[in-house]
Amino acid sequence: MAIIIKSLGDGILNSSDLTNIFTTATDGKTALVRNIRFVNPSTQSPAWLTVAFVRTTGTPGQPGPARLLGPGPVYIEPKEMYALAEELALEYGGTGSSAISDAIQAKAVQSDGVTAIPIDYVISGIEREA
Amino acid sequence: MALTIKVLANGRVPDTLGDPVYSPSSATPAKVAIVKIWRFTNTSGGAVVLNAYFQKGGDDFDPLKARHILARDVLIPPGHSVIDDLDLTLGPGDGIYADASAGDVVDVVVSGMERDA
Repeated sequence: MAIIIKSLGDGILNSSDLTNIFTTATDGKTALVRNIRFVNPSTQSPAWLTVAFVRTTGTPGQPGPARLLGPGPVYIEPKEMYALAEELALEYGGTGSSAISDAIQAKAVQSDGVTAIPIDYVISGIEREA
Repeated sequence: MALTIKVLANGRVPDTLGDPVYSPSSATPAKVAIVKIWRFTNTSGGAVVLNAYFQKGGDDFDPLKARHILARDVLIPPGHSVIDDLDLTLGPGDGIYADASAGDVVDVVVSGMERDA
């Protein structure tokens, strides 16, 4: 039941469709996300970022609707950072039809609203056994 | 398993990316950390440009593995500071890195807490 301090995830978001950037299913642990940093490293192109919560239930898992975690989309100027600074609890556990895993999804697009733009992200937080 | 409140690192920011500014030990006893705040102060008479990164697993800086954790190319006027007080959680061996357009003129102080992994 120990609490594990770690970087929950990092990567380059490069998707125009909502895609998992963190899910409790990976480690099979509940998590408390402290914050998520998103940086638009482009020197020229602004980005429009959308971040959402998705709960998956049952076995096999059935994803529920995406719930926005903030204004969507958020405008990020070239070279600027957007931080989702509010904590977010994510669950994992249960079996069969009561199985639950939670995920954070995100997408980022250019001004045309269609073309993906690479965004650096780093997720800070803690995990513990479900 | 107690948390140790400490200055995780202090020094001057180089003009090239190489070793991390701070990395929790991955050797026994391995450590994890929460960076609570890090401060960058430009001690020079001219403006400098700063970049900061996180890299999973630390080691030498690798642009393919590193992620920006501050706005890119942050401009620090002479005598001014940039402060990042957004918690950053680090596992054993993870690294935080910084470089500036002029080496050895930006003071950096990293505050936070460590505990055994």
